[in-house]
Amino acid sequence: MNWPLLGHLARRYSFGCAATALVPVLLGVMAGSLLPEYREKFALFEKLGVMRMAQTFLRSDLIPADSATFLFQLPYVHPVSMLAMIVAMALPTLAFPAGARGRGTLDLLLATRLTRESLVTTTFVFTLPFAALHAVAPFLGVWIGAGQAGVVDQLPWRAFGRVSVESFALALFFAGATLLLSVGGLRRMKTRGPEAAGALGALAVLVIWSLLAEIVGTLWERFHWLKRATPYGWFEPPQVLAGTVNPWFDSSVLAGCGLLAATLALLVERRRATV
Amino acid sequence: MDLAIETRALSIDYGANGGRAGVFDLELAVAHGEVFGFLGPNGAGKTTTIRMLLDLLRPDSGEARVLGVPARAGGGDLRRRIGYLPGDLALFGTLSGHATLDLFTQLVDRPPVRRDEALDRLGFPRHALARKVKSYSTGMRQMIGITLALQHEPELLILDEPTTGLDPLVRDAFLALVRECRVRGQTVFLSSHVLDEVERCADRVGIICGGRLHEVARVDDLEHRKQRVVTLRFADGRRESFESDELPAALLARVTALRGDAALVDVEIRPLGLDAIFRRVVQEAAR
Repeated sequence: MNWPLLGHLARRYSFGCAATALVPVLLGVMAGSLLPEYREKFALFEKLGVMRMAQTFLRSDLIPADSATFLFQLPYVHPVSMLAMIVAMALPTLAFPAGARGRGTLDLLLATRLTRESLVTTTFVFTLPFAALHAVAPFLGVWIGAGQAGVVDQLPWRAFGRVSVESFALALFFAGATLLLSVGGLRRMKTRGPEAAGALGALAVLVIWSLLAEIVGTLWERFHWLKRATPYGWFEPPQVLAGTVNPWFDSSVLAGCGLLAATLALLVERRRATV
Repeated sequence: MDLAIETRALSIDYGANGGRAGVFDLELAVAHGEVFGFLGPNGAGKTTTIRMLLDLLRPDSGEARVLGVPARAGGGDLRRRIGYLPGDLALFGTLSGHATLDLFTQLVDRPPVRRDEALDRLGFPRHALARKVKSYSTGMRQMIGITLALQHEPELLILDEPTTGLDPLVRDAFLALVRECRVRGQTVFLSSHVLDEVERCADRVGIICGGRLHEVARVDDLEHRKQRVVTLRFADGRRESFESDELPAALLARVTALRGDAALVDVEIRPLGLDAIFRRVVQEAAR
């Protein structure tokens, strides 16, 4: 751990990373303000079939589609919320080391007391509070929204807490994975690692693959196995809320993969022939 | 001998498609308290060597010891004893000059005992320290880079093309600072392709070309090899120009012979630069 670098990261990226947490909060508030009208017009929505796709993804087979719990999944699973989490994790991890490599500041940084190992460790540690924030923020959004709609007593708060634990684990996964991509993965140890654009491209491939696999796996039963090959396959708020999966196991898998990726990033950076 | 930098058969080959590029069998010994000029044309392997000394690039074979410690094993504790100015200096554009200097002071974890002196001597406008680095001119950025290298009074300074973007006055001030480093007992490893400035401050020079160290010599010993372009302008409008590596007396005799009875209006003697010396060194090495 390098405290001066941590301080620099805090000054440079705290605001941006924290701002992304507003997205799930606002989604919770939005869900709270939509809930009365949603319930009122639910029968019409059902008749018109406009909610069919949402009901598939939010698992109306597990949670009644006209319940508050169903709508309050939004802060956790909305694509914009997912994107905000990825941005929060990727901002610092793409900046160090890939971004610094691209800007040309990496040589100067590593010619100080800062070592390659502490660069990776410090960047990962910096993401941890924001991973926690992205677990707390949707919970906060649900709480505000539920208060606004007057349905606080209708929600399974303990189950929402468990979903937040899964959110934290998912954020950890993305922090570790992005850090590994920023360091340069396991290939080409003799050459320089990627710059930010290269690492971002690889992250985009990972995210697009995950979303596609999630969609295909949800819509077509025979491709259900595909979901487990992506992080979203281990992040299952509807099932957690319905109590049909073990959230601790899923969270352990996600967090374990994230920590493994971060450890690999550390080893790769240590062994890389050139920064 | 007490050495600040020592390399033994240091080699790295990053040539692609069968071509060879890199540094090969580098044997270098720089004593403590010495100003060592590391000369070479672009792509000669100067920056590659420096990056290996700082463990930013790991060699295929051989060993580099810096301040008596293996470059790789030394880690952060070694590098905080070094002041480094990279050739392609890049700073955090969104930080102010002051914040940049403070950040690196914290990263090095040594007090910036020479910061004020370095800034003053280089003539860096103090009020500009509050501005963001991205608003600086190339020269101002280079001055900040030099200050970063000097401010914590390191035992060893590794400077890669340090005068890039500096105007002549600042360059003079910088060279004076380098000479003072020697007086203070600091070692300076100065990479450059400008022979003139190396001559003004270095004790010895090493000439690297094509990744191979061709010669290490005292600066005084290089004097006799110095190529000059001599241009004579006569009153009748005639101009004569020739290359010469002759010592002053022989050069004067040649000018006198060329002049004959014509009235001489102007004589310009310009150093030809490192290329000519390189051509000669490389040709001699090939023989």
